[in-house]
Amino acid sequence: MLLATAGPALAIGERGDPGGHMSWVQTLLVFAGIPLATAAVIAFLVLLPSMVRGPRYRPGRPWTSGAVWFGGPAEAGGPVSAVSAEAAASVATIEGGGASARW
Amino acid sequence: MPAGDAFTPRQADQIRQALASARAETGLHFSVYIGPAEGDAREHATRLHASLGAEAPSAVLVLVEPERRRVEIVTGEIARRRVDDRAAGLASLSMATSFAGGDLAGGITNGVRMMAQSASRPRVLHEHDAG
Repeated sequence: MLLATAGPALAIGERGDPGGHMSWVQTLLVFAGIPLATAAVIAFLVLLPSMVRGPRYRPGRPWTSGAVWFGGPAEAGGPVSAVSAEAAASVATIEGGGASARW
Repeated sequence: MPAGDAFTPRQADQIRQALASARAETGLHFSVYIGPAEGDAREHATRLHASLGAEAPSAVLVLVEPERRRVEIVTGEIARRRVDDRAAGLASLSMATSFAGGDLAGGITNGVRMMAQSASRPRVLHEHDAG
């Protein structure tokens, strides 16, 4: 296997001119620069979808995204946490129902 | 109000759309709060529901607390006649299942749709008298 892949390199001597010496800058570019660039491109392509999608909720992780209220009174302006005292007082008067669940 | 960074603009639009169509179908006000709750989640949900003011009796409020993994549904006096506790319980379970899989937006839109569906279903009168 090793000999098979080394075949073309060994054959250079037979065919003739192996070319001039590479400077150490060229060596570095070919043997370090190209692999690093390839790895960077692959890593970028892998991470791209999640960068586009943004942060995602994962159960068990701390919640850092703050509060969102769709269809709340804040939709018309005003901070989310502004629950007025009179509204809190009227809680007892609600004859509503509901349900709860955990995950 | 900005949707924070919990949802992409597209997800936020989906949620708003689900809420709007639920409201159009049923005449009830649907509202979803996602975020931390101060103190007890149920009490916080009830406070938020009450702060909807004049709309509270016909409002359905869903509170999702991702940190403590709780979902609370509070229905007002009028809303409860359309979305009874059993329908709310089913919706909350369905949402919790989606949330456990990490899908907040999908769980919310589905749960709201479920409640809207059960609210718009015509009531069968004397259902229990027949047998």
